[in-house]
Amino acid sequence: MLYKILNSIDKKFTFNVSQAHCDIPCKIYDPIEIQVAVLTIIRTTDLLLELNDKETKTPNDNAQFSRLVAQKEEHGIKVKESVRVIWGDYFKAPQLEKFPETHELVHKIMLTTSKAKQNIDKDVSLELLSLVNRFAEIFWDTKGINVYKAKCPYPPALEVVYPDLKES
Amino acid sequence: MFKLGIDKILGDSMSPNIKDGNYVIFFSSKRMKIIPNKVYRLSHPQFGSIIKRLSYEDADGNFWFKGDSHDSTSLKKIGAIAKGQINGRIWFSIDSESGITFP
Repeated sequence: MLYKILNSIDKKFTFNVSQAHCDIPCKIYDPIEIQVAVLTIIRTTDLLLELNDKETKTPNDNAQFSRLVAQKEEHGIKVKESVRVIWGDYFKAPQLEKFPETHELVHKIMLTTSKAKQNIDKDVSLELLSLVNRFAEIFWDTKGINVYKAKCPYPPALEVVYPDLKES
Repeated sequence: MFKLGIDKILGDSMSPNIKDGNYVIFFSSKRMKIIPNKVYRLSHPQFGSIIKRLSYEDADGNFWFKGDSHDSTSLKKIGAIAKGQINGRIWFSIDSESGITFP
């Protein structure tokens, strides 16, 4: 009765919300989203460079330029966010003891992602791919899963580290 | 000054005493006592407005809170809470099925 009354008042006037946070360890971690985000950065960088080479640009080209920059920015944020989650939530003492390079690698990924966001620089975005591939290698190793390298079957068709899940 | 308020609860960290979707009635006053095992409303720099149960007060006068559920954000993650961040004590909770309960 009282709940119903409060609920209908809430629907009209909206009470403040207090959070009762949970930290449920969902255990779903996969660096593939980081790798795909970096491939997107590389692809958008390629497309931006192509557009830049055009001598005369139409209004559509200018609009496309803005859209590509926005996509590159968005995927840079995704890279940072996803790396932070795996590094902060998944990596614990045993993983860090096995791979003491992890902290430095994560920091490098952060800095290189910033560079890739700030510039239209293919070399920087390729360097970022090699860093996140190493991050993926470490991640899968800590789970006892072998990896292999293969070219992603879509542009920019670059080598990506994939887990060999058939073996495990 | 005595103040009374209503909050809607989001999340299950205080379950089973206060469930997701419950309403809570809280009060605050200048002379509000901060007592271990009571549930308080806090202003947290990272989590915003949260409700948690007071675990203990440390030697430096900071307060340490935790949730009732095992899945709750840990005491360490919530961190030390200063008295000024505690802005209410939960008086009772209103659940759609069990009605009024005192957490």
